[in-house]
Amino acid sequence: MGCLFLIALSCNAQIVPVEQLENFTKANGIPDGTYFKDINHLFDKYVGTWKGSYNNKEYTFYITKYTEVDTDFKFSQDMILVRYLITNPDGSIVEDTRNLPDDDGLVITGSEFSSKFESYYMRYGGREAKCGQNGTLALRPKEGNQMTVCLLLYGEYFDGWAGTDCPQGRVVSPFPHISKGLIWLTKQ
Amino acid sequence: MNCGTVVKWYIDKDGDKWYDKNAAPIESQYVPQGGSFIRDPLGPDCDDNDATKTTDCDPCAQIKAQIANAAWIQKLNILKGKTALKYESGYLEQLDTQSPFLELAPEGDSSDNLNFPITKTTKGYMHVHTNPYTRIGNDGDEKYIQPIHMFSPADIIQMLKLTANAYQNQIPMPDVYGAMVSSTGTYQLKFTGDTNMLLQNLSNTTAAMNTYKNKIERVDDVYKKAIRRNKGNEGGLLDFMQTIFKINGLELFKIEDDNSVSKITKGTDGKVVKTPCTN
Repeated sequence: MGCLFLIALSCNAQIVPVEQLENFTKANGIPDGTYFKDINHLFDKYVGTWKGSYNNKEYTFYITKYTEVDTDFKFSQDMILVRYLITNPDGSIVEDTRNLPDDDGLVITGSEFSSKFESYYMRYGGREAKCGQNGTLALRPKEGNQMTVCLLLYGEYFDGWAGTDCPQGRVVSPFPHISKGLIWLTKQ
Repeated sequence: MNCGTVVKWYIDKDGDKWYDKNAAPIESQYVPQGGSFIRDPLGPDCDDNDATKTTDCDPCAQIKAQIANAAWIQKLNILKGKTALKYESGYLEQLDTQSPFLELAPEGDSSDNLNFPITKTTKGYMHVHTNPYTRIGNDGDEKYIQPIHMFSPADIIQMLKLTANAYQNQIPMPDVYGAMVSSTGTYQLKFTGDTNMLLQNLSNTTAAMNTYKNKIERVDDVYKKAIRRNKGNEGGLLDFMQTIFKINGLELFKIEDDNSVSKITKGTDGKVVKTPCTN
């Protein structure tokens, strides 16, 4: 089934600019074989290595382009992925997702642009995702090769999925909520 | 009791003081022989072989009874008045009939999520999905937030946790509910399956979350895709529950503005079917 879908994707794929994903799908649903492609290179300004510090920690983001192929819903979508390294002042590692495969849960995956395309919203899940370490991350490029990063929305927390899994309660994410602060990153 | 007084005796096989509504009461001065009979039952039992089930099990009848309950509809109407706010609000409902409703407070210092302190007597909850709004960051950045006016994957998980809580604490399952209020519709989830189905739902949901590496945000994206594929929230929810979380027995109902109730299902052609409750 996956092979047939990929053949269909290459021969009969309907290509839609990725920034039109929401409007297109509202009007048409998701026809099989649709490819939401970054025709207009909106992701180019996000791609690269970015560094900054926040709350006494060093953050490095490694952002790459990626085409997600959804075999459940039979379409594909361009997005960016974020792998990251967070260290303490003494160099000890808080989190390191640099070498993880694309489909690993700790790799931050793309979702959609904001309504005015000024920000890109991404899906974050930490090691303690079940215990609240998750949320929507907002990346916003700024002038001077800078970018801000924050949690647009706090993650969901309900103490695990089917039982009680979080003896420590909610686990805090390493990314600040939009009401609390911003991480400023500079492109390297 | 005065000798010679004739009273009505009701069959109560499971001993929960709710009588078998399919058996006519016996009028007699004495306790009838050959069965479990009680006087002054609490009401008709939807399943007189199961002590955890009482009252009318039919979800339509259950929801209609809630709407007829002044205290319940009052809380629902309060939430309807909060759809334009920029934060969530809601209530937990406990079994305690004296003071059943617990107003839900934001979790910690976040207004994004509500604290859901499920206890051994929690039977249901109702909450708001607000209208879209703009959130301004502390450097002036504007972000547009657009809640979906339908139960989210997190809400489904919350509902499954309520069914598990009811199973563990002998709360009558027909009493268990989750409600979502929005400016474009009010919906309720009811579990009408059996114990095996309940346990399988919990197992399947955990497996699904593991598939998505426990990233609930990633699951939100999958949910949005289901909504888009079905061109609507109702079809999207039903598709998502069936194909992604692989859960059964969780039924969707809509409470219309005139308080009529409909069951929402998917037909064999995949299209959404709305069946008005008849009772």
